[in-house]
Order: sequence, then C-alpha cells, then structure tokens
Amino acid sequence: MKASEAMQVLAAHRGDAIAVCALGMACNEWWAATRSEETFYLHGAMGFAASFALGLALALPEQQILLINGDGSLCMNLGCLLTEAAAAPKNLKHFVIDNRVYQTVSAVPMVNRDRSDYVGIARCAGIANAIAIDNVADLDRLAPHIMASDGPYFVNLEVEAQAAHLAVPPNDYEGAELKFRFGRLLEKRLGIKVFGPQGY
Amino acid sequence: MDPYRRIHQELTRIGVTLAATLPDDWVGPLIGLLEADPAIIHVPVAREAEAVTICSGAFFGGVRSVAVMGNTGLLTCTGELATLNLRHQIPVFCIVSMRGSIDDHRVYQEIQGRRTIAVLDAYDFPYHIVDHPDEIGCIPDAYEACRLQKRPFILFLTRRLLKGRPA
Repeated sequence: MKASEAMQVLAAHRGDAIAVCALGMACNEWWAATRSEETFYLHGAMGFAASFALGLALALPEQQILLINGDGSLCMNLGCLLTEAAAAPKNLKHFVIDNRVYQTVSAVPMVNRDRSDYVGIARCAGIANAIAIDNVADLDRLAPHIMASDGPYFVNLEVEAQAAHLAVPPNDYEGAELKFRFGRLLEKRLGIKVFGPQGY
Repeated sequence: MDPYRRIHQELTRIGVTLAATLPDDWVGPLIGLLEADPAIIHVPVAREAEAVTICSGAFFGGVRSVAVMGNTGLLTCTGELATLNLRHQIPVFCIVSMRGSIDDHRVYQEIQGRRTIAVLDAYDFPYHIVDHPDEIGCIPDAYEACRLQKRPFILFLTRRLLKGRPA
C-alpha cells in the first residue's frame, strides 16, 4: 500500500471528522489527497501532533478527530501513547503512516525498524484497540468500523517507502494564516468561540 | 488562603477548564487542586512538551487551558514552543516554578536559575514573576496578555510565594 492510497481511503471514510497531521509525510500526503482546510497541519513540534490532537479531542468531545501521525513522529514521543490511553478520548482515532524510514530526509532508516512493533507498543501503553493494516482493501473494509468505534483507536498503516514522495509541504498557506483559517472554520462549523472579540 | 488555592481560584475565575501537568515538588499542590476540581479536565502527561501541545490543541476547541510544570520541564520544551507556538502564533499559558533562585538550595536546579530567563528572552517568550500572595490577582491580566501576544507566556511562581523563607 502506498501512503497516497491509504490517504485516499481515509479521506473517503472521514465523514465530518476534523483532522490533525504531523509534519512531513502525513501533512504532505493528506493535503495532496484532500486539500482539506478542516485539518491542522503541524509544520513543527515533531512528535507532538498526537498531543495536539488529544487536546483538540478533549476540548471537542462530540467531534470526531482523526490524527494522521508519522512513524518518525510517533517514535519521537512514544509517551504520547500513555497519555492518550489515560485520557481515553472516545472521539480520537490515531493513524500512523509507517514506512520505516524518515521519508522526507532521504529515506534514512528508522531506528530499530526490523524489530519494532508499534501496535504492540500501543497495546502495552493501554490502548486496547490497536491494529495494523497493510493493504488498501482491508483499510477500506475496516475504516467504517474504526470510525464508528469508541476511541482511542490506534491504526498502524504499513505503507511502502517511496522514491517519488512529496518532499515539502504542498499547502499554499502556512504559519499564522493556517491558525486563523483553521480556527475560523471551527468557529463557523461548530458554533464555538476560538478567538476573542478583538480577533486574538 | 494559601497561594495554591488562590491560583486555582484565579484560573477558575478566568474560565480555565483544562490543565495539562507534570509536577515538580513546588507546583505539586496546585496540580492536586486541579485534579480534584470536577470542572477541570486534568491531563497528566509524561513529558512537558505534551502539556504545551495539548493546550495548543485545546485552544482550537475554544477551551481555556493551562500547562503546569517545573522550570526544568520548561527548558525541555522550548523547541516545541518555538516551532509550534511561535510558528503558528498559538498562545499557551504556562505556570512554572521558578527553580534555581538564590533561596533554592538544590544543586541540580542551579543552571535553570541562571539561564532560563536568558533562554526566554532569546525566544521572545514573555513572562511575569509572582513573588507574593498579593500578586496572584495578576493572573487574569497575564492570561489576556498571553492571548494578545499570541505566543507562550510563562507565569513564574517563586519559592518565597510557595514555601516562604528557606530554612
């Protein structure tokens, strides 16, 4: 399964979910597949998209939140799984793009990649719903069940390392504009107030 | 009223409903009050950078939050505060014990005491030091300044405030 194929399938099943993407492959491939502005694309804080998504999920308990994480990001903050398991947000679905390399920096191999088991790590951290999927057909078949189930749900998407990958964020906006567009979109869609009366 | 209860009271008054925390011994009693408050979602974390990024996510859900940690923990998450919060102009309000002060006689806090302010200045993270119970009432203004400046804001709590004079 290619990362781009996995993103296409997830996009087809996302429903009304708000998404959060880790920097690198996750951001790049999700944007390429969806052009979604109902997504926060972290362009920094590698390792902490999971924590950002957890905060969003706890703040919006009635709103489905999809986290598109990367294996490099997950490994940079494995403790996020303990926090996610303890907080146990029913509305958070945690997907990892697992290609066993740091794709955007010349496909350097991930540490201990031949022996590590991210699903096992997630389960041992206390996330009971943790599975691996390595093909498009299974992802398409299981996605409705995953989306309908209580979270936290951890799904390791085993994808191929690619030679022709998206090396840089393809979004045509970033930084503070990303913040304001995402925040205003949530205000409008969910009827919440993110910003104060003076706009900050 | 002890300073921890005053701080908790001010946070409640400004509508904080989520706290992400990792203790050091000076802020531990505050974390206990936050944990015991049913109106606050308390998220204990395994690393301080989780606390600031959880609060950053909560910001977009319209929830007012606070990250509570020790000075050492603050230094561990300056990279995330820079590349997420400065990068995207996301406010995050941090309450931090001001370790390494002249009345903190712990050898492993010495560097924190000497270099933390210099690090904050380098990043242009605003901060305010609360040294006396009468100053706890500044919290609403500090929180608003954090929102207005759209970046991390550090509210330091001193030893004198929390524990009185050293033995």
